[in-house]
Amino acid sequence: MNAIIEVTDIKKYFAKKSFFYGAEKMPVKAVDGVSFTIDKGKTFGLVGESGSGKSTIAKLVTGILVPDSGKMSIEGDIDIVFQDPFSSLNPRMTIRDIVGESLFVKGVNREEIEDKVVKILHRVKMKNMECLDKYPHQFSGGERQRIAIARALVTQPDIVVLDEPVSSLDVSIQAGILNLLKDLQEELALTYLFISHDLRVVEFMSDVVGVMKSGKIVEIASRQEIYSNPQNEYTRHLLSSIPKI
Amino acid sequence: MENILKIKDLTVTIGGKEVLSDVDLTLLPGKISAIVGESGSGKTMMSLAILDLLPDVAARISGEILFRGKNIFDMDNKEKQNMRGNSISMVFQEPFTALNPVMRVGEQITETIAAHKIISEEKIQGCLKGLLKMVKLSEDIASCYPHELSGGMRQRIMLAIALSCDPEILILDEPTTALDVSVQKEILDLVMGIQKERCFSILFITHDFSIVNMVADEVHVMKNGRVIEKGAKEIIFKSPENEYTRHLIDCIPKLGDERERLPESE
Ligand SMILES: Nc1ncnc2c1ncn2[C@@H]1O[C@H](COP(=O)(O)OP(=O)(O)OP(=O)(O)O)[C@@H](O)[C@H]1O
Ligand SMILES: Nc1ncnc2c1ncn2[C@@H]1O[C@H](COP(=O)(O)OP(=O)(O)OP(=O)(O)O)[C@@H](O)[C@H]1O
Ligand SMILES: [Mg+2]
Ligand SMILES: [Mg+2]
Repeated sequence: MNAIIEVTDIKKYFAKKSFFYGAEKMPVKAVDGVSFTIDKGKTFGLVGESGSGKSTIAKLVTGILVPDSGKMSIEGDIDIVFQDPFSSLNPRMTIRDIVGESLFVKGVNREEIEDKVVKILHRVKMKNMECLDKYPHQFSGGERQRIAIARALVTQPDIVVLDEPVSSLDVSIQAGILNLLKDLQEELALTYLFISHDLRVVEFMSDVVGVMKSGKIVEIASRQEIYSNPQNEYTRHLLSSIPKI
Repeated sequence: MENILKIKDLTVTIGGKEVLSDVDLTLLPGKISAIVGESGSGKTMMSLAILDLLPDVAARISGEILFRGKNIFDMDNKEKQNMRGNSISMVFQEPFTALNPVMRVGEQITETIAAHKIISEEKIQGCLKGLLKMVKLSEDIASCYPHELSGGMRQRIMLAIALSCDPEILILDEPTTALDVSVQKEILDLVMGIQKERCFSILFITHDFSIVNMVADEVHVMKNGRVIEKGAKEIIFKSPENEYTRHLIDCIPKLGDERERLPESE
């Protein structure tokens, strides 16, 4: 229909050696036959077990990794916010250059870059403009996470992959970022692949939710269906583990 | 009860900016103190200060940190090494940067075990297997390099390393941000189990109020380098006095939340 991302039966295995016995072991089936589509302007939430293949899917969809098999069709620009912001930010670049780099590459002029960089940093609640000339190591964990979000959003790509984007933000700033993502989606019809271990955040953000375990999507359904009428046992187990507060 | 760690009036500046202002904090033996607060409010700086690991650019302008009554700023290098290696262990906020990228994670764990106990290679391997099992990782993980692991797996390796030595104080800086609720609960139960058994103290930095609720005895709320409210968990949750604390509690997305937008500050 209106699918902007269509992924069909993709697989990604990694080779693995044994530590204790030195022999070759079975490969890790990080992504083992996964299919989904995301419609334009919608959010697909991906939740699941630690190590189940969520970040690997993020890297496959953005072309950082190549699938062993399967088909992917992606229409439009795509950008990513990595799970580990520190290692994804160039340590030798200032925040001004990190956030402005892709605008620069596109040939946007200096003043416009400065203007856009300042505006997006403001929107991720980095309001102290001294930050522009600082380097990644001079920030807190959550500040780095917001710089990574600003970097991905500044060019307003059609699709944004967000891998645990708010995992180390206090709930107040987290609320601001989630609202910002929703606002931008409304203004610009952005499409999100939103990965999070926090099922409440995923419920707040997503139109459709996929639940992963051991490289497979074990259940995929609308947000309402997943949260009110989960079919899969693992989904039910996850939902029942959500703390009450 | 005698405190194990006491921070008194600690003020730290970096480049002219106060990142910690008059911070007071007391950690009691066998208790878990949670620190919640705004991103950038100084939580990580405070824990680095405890280990005297503040970045070189930082200047402490006043205050003291007493570990078992002794000011850590007066300790000589040997005492500090001993404190860092044996008495206080820390799980850093960003595990990827704390792990050695060119060393297999299994070796990184066995290295810490060997540094603390004089035991046979065979026993060390046994310890390694036990620790991996404790943090719900399979044995095969030991042969991986950090980049071959998922975010949550790396966090659990950090926890395994921290638990491998017998600390008196464990500092956990956002240790479970990449763990799904189910594994997170198992790991937290495990950490609390070991904590009860060995009776050490935990300083638990987290942005997640359900974790606070699950683990903490006491809560400290930080904003702009200051501790703006502290008290027993029950009191902070039920009747927070500070407006920012109330605001934070309001911002938590609830399951089945009908709100289209969440409340924001300013
Ligand atoms: N470069 C790699 N080399 C070898 N194995 C890898 C590599 N990247 C990932 N893996 C393995 O693939 C599996 C899936 O990892 P992935 O990072 O996709 O999990 P995840 O769902 O994002 O987990 P988390 O929630 O903990 O971040 C894991 O078993 C991991 O060890
Ligand atoms: N090396 C540095 N140089 C200059 N400023 C720094 C440096 N490291 C941290 N800061 C600043 O010090 C303040 C406190 O940082 P800290 O890392 O303690 O915050 P935090 O409470 O842990 O935040 P988060 O929850 O986002 O991790 C932040 O404003 C940060 O920008
Ligand atoms: Mg991941
Ligand atoms: Mg921090």
